[in-house]
Amino acid sequence: MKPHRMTIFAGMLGAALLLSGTPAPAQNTCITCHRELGGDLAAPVTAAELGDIHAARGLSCADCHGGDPTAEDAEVSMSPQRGFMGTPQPQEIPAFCGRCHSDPRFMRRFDPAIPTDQVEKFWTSHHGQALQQGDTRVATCVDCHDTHAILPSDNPKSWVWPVNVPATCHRCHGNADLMSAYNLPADVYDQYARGVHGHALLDENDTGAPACNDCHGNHSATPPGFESVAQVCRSCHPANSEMFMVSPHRPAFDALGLPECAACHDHHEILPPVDAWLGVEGEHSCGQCHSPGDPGYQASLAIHGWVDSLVTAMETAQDLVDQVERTGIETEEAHEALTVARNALLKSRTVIHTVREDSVEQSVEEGLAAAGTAFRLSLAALEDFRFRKFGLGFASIFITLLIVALWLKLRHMEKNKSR
Amino acid sequence: MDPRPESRSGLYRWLNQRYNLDAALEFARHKKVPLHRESVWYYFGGVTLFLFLIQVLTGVLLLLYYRPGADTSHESLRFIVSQVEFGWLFRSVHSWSANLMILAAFIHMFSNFFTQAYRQPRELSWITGMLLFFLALGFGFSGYLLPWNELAFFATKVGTDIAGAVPLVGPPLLIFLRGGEDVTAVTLSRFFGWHVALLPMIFTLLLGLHLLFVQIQGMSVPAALPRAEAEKRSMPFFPSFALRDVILWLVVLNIVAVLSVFFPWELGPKADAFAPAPAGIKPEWYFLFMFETLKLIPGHVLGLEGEILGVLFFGVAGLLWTLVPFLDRHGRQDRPNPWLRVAGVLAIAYIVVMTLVGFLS
Repeated sequence: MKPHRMTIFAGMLGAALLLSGTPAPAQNTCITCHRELGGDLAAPVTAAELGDIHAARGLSCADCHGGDPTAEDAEVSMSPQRGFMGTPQPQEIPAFCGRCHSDPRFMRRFDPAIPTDQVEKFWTSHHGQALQQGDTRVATCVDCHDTHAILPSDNPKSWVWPVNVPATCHRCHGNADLMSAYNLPADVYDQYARGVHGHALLDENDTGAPACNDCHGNHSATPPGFESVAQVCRSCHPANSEMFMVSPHRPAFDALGLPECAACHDHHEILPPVDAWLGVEGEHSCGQCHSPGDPGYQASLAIHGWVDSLVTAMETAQDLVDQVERTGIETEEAHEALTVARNALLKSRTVIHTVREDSVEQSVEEGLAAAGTAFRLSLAALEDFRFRKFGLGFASIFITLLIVALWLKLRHMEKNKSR
Repeated sequence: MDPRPESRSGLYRWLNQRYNLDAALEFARHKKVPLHRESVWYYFGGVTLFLFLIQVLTGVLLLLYYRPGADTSHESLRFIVSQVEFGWLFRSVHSWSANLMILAAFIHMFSNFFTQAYRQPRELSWITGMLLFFLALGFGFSGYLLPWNELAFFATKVGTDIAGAVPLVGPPLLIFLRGGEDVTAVTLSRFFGWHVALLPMIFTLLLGLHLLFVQIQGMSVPAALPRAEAEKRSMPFFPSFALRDVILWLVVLNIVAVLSVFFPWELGPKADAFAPAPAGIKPEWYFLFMFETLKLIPGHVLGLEGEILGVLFFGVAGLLWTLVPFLDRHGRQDRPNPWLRVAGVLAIAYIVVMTLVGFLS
């Protein structure tokens, strides 16, 4: 090795030793200062410490807000020269977040499957369109995801965890003053909570049940509108929808401008459907649109009658099966028949969306036959139980007489022997 | 029977010439049963025997239709109880009499324990009786799985797991019992074989010996009773005791019939190996006290696994109980043994309390 090379090597070694002895980088001055300042100014720090996904992935304040977190002097660290951007205005927020979230190359380092079209979708939403028109009261990213305590969407504490979504939307959509400006009702949450979807999601914690975003969309949130409400329902209720599509209701509803599924089931307060709706009396019933004399009215009466007859037959059979069960006699076959009947009832309640009497009659007949089987089996079992009791009574009398006779004989023999 | 030889039938005379029936009749005529305040316990051996005979009869009838197999056991039993004429009755009588037989065997065993009937010269009567009792438990365990229902499937899993915890022989025993690592159709097939062939064969042989010993040696008089007083009164076995036995058997038969009609034995849902174990799996009531004990023992005691300790405890207790004729020094001198009496009372109290805990938990 030549002497000058030795000098370079020694210099590099010295530099490396010096670097290894360098103290750890200075603390993040954004955090230290804001924590010391306390109050609202400390809120971002304390919020970020609650499990914020950005902090957890190693992003610092400066990665979003710019500035120099190594400078001790606030004037320097928060100076535009050091890239400090400050707090974005509401209309700036989508772009502010979009700097990273709309950049697939940046986002894929955290999750290769993460979508990056949120901002694009947001601008198509009612929220985004209003924001573009200068309305800053509408929701932006931070209204749904929080600002500095942003939790991943699969965290049950996240504002956008399915069970929490209705409450998140309700923060704005339940504000009567705010909603009155848009001519929107402020009781949507209550309506939803009373409905079957709300009950399943909020009371049963069934995350498979739809929250607001499942029908309205997430970032592109918008009302589905009359023409597409059925498409929304169809995504979860395909069988009912298929039957509706081939029913005479479909063209009629289209002509009348009725919102298909929602015309009978409503949209937010989707109550559990009951068979009475198939009748002609009361809210939600066919009688709301059909009047005596029109074919729909007659069909409604007939369909209601069919479904009702199956329900009654099943209830009667179930009562009898219960009676048999109390005797301890095997009821599995009757239960199997009742299961067939239940499936037929379920099918009938789906087939009613065709509003065709013959289709409903056909599936009801299947159920009636099965309920009849359960009824007959149970009747035979109860008859058998009566026979068993009779047989037992007869056998018991015979055994008792035999015991008495044997006892008398024994006494007689013992008496004779003792003489 | 008329004792005069000339009054008997030709068939009797024919048999008597060849097998000396007169000697057997003479023996029976002179057979006596001691009569004292504890005589009532003598009847429980007969009741156990009667219930075993019902088991054999109804078991044979069930065999006419029962088809062992994961795809056929439950189905064939369902067919028996719902389609076969009086099939429900045979099945219920079989199950109820099995349980009553175990109960009667428990009473018979404890009454003989407290009256020290095992003492010299009846040691082998006690030992054959204890072996019969263990075999009866084996009948219960193997028969429980045969309907191939959910509860039996998982209870057998738990039961064989416990057997697998026996030190040294546990793992191979588990494989032997199950016919593999898990409870499968092979296990069912094995249990069926044991239940209808192997166990009945051994049981019948032991029962024959047990009855032979009782006939040769007669009934034991409790050590606690003054011998002179106890031997003063007696009743002839034929017809007095035998007829009383028959009367009691008829009462038991009627009880079994009432239970079978008003509480027919449940078939339950078919076993599904892939389904989660249902809540509250329990063995049959006669294993419940051991099951509950194993549940109560901590995971580790003195460096030993709790389950192993429990199994060892019951194993040793069972062995000591079987060998009690050789351990009871008082008994050898025809004297009551207060220590064993206390042990017996404690054992009964423990079994009853733990069984109740098992039922209520």
